[in-house]
Amino acid sequence: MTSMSQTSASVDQAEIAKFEAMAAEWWDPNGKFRPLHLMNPLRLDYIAAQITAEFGRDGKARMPLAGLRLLDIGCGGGLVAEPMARLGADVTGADAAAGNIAVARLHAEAQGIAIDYRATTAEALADMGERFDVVLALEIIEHVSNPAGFVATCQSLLKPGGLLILSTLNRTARSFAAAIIGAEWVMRWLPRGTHDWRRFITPDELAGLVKGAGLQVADRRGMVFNPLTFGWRLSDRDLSVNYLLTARR
Amino acid sequence: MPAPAIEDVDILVSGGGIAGLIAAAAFGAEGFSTLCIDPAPPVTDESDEGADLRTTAILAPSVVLLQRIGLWDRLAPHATPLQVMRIVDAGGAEPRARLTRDFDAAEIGDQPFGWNLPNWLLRREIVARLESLQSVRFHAGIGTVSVLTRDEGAIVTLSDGRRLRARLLIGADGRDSPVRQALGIGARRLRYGQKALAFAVTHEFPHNNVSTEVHRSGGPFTLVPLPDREGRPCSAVVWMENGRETARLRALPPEGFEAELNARSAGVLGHLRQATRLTEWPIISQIADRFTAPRTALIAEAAHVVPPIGAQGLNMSLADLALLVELNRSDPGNAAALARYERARRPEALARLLGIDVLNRASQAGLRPLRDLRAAALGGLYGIAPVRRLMMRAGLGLH
Repeated sequence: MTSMSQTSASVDQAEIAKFEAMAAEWWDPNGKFRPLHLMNPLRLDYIAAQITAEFGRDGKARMPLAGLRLLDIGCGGGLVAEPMARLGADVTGADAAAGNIAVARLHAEAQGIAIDYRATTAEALADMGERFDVVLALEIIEHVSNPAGFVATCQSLLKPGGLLILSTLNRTARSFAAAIIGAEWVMRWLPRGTHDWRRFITPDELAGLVKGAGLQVADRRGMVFNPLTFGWRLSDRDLSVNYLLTARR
Repeated sequence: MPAPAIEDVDILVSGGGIAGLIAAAAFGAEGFSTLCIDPAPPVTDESDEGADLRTTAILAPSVVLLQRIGLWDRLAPHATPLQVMRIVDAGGAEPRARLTRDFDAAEIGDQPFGWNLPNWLLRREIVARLESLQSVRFHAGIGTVSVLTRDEGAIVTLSDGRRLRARLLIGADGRDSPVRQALGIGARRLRYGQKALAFAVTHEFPHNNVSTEVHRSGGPFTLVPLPDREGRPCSAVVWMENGRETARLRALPPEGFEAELNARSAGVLGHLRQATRLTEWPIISQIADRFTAPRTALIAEAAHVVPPIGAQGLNMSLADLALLVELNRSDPGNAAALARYERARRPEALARLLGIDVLNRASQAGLRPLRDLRAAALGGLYGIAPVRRLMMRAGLGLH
């Protein structure tokens, strides 16, 4: 098992070390993860809407996700795992960087939220035979070394009829300008080298990987940043920088 | 935890008004599995409380669509042709016709402008047609609770708990469209402070298939030809006035109302007698910020609302529908078709809305000099034959 996870397709040791160094900053809304904090409400809305629609839940109920088993792969400090647990989901948060998991555990305990955090990889969970109604892989696929293998692993983590939601960055001139020049060089929201633009995946490429893994693409949606209001909005037309993809097993 | 099953349909029409019912018939006639829902059952009898006593002029281009979907043969026997549209200015010191101009359909072709039908009867005939289409179901008493549009289809939860996934969701659910609101699409609204009274009258002189608009102040007063009623010539009235004035008129005793009615009509068809109860409608102009979302198209008043001038409202809606059917015949709800629908229909609707807005404001004019200017403009434009023919063709939606 251990040897499996160390040699697994999706974990790149250098990438993990990079994030561990930033772990303490996760919950600082003005820190290095500021872009994620800004984007988070919109991302959470989209995810909750997709899940409630797919599983026929009343989005206005207090705990619309109750009874659903949800895995957040690359959960980081728990920015998404905690809100999902608050909506009633039975959440497992996995991150290959143990430092992130330590930060996430501490924070969830302080908030009185029960989340099953594990310093492990998607591959290790799949090998253990874990199955989920929903798998989230947010801003993670651009950091894995073998995206096709990673998507196949996500597929094997889903129950039949389960939902996979991915978010990532497109590989366009605009995404280079926004994520590399804007966020890393100019605004210094992210340390230089956080992203490697060549690893970014276009929506069509990602849809191809998803279909190749035996999943059905249900939706693709862009997330568009407005630099004047510092706000994000969903767009069905502009997928040129950040985007989400929902697929069903 | 297994999710409750989702039922797949090709087309889901939210809204069972005239436009929604015709949309269901149009897509059903193409063989698509179609479900039409509306929170309220359609009122199909004139005497029922809540019957829609307005009438609709089906203009010539709309007839083509109705023929195609097998509706026109049912409607034609009840329709009254509109051969002449007469505009009367009664904006002088006395409420008398001082300028009359006839727009005759014979000047631009061999067909009438259109055919006039009462709305309650339109509903009755379309519902009957739906019953003969195997592919269409019409469920009254059911509304939409939530909508999520995905690339693969619009997922709609209904008030009876059912969940549907539609390749194309058509929002035909009116000016306060629940579909439009669920998608977070805004709308710009212009208010005029006006209301319209709609009812039928019998009159002394035959209408000779002439529709007459009388302009004085407060808005147009329109008489639209209907079939004879109890042996007397009959017309539908749409009387637009500011809201305070319609409230006053509605509160009048029958003889008082009849006196006001006859003063306002300027005697163009002789003495008028009220033949049905009064119904009242608020007048606004409104246009949705977008006409489409993924897997979703807005049509009719969900997309655009105009004051009842020049028979534009439903005919704009049927033009929406004709294009929507044409673009979605091979693969309903595909993104390219919806993008073309948006590009074609929204600018067209906005242009018509702005034109009608100007006409309505001109007709509202209360001040004498403005009313004189209006009469001069009408007389002047009318006098130029090519302009006159252009106005008639534009009104029909011909190019």
